[in-house]
Amino acid sequence: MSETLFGAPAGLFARLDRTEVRVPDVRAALARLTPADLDPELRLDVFEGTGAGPMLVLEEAGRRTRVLLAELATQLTRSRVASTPEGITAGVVAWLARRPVPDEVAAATGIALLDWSDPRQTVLGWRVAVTRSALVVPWRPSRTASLPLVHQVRSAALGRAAAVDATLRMAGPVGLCTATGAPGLDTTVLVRPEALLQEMADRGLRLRDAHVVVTPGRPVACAEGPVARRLAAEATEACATLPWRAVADLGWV
Amino acid sequence: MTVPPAAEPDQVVLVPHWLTAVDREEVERAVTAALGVGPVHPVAAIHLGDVLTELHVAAAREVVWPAPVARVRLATGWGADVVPVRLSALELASVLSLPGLAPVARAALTGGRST
Repeated sequence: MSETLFGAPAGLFARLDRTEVRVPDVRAALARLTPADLDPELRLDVFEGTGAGPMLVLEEAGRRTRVLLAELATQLTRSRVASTPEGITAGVVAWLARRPVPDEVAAATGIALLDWSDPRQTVLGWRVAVTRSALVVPWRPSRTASLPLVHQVRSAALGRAAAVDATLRMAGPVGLCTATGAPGLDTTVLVRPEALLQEMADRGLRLRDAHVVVTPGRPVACAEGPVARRLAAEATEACATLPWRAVADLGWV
Repeated sequence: MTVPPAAEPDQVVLVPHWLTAVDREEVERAVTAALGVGPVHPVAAIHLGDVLTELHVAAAREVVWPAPVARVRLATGWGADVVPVRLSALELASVLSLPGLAPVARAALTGGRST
């Protein structure tokens, strides 16, 4: 969930070539969207005369999101989307895929997983997320979501996470756990860390002081403390090593 | 076999050695054989055990964080089975001191991609 917003960054030459995405380009890209690009539940409207320029309004399952086309164009320019019709359309589709998750959708399909709770990626927390095609999109409660609803969504998401199929692979003293057929959802296995430890014990690796190495969106590694620290020692990606019992104490993001 | 004194654990620097699957298999074979046949100095045995751990940990890193190594392979043109195996000076010394280590793996650890 922390990758770049509009896909992989372009190469050096593309970055040197500064082109701007303008409001008419975005409007044209929105007009080019086919039903295949959009969820059937999603409604798109462009409203004129808001005072600040044309505004895009998304409506899905009771959640409304507004954005000025000028702002969207700036975001696309900053992300260095190629300012060709195809490039801008792809950028708009990518932006739409990351639109806020409606509370209803989160309640119906949300899954609990571990993610960073701060922009500096130092503190882990549980988060409710939904999958949209190949993408894992975090849920942030809407302004109208009540506290009981938030609790309900979270507990349902924990239940779904516990039902996710996991595959354990052993690499000597390290157990590697992935969610079967669901890229990006690997940290859901830590909803039941004791099941992971039990399976490792069944495969012949009984840990006395099990630590997990958590990288949001990537497979979870589980090993004895020193081995886990060695694994994560020079990782260039943000990851956290913690005793497996500490996982249960992590808060919600 | 002479064994250098153990260093403080937090001062140990792990240096990557870029080994192919064949090199890694050979290191694993030589270390396992040495530990199985013995006699090995107890401290050297610990270092050799850590080398075996590192070989597995290197494989695990590939699963969890494949992107940085993939970029190195792309830039250097190395094969898909080349993986950085991070060893401390003591671990490297204990592997190189094994008489049974094949010259190919010895060369990979002391020169080639590692320099």
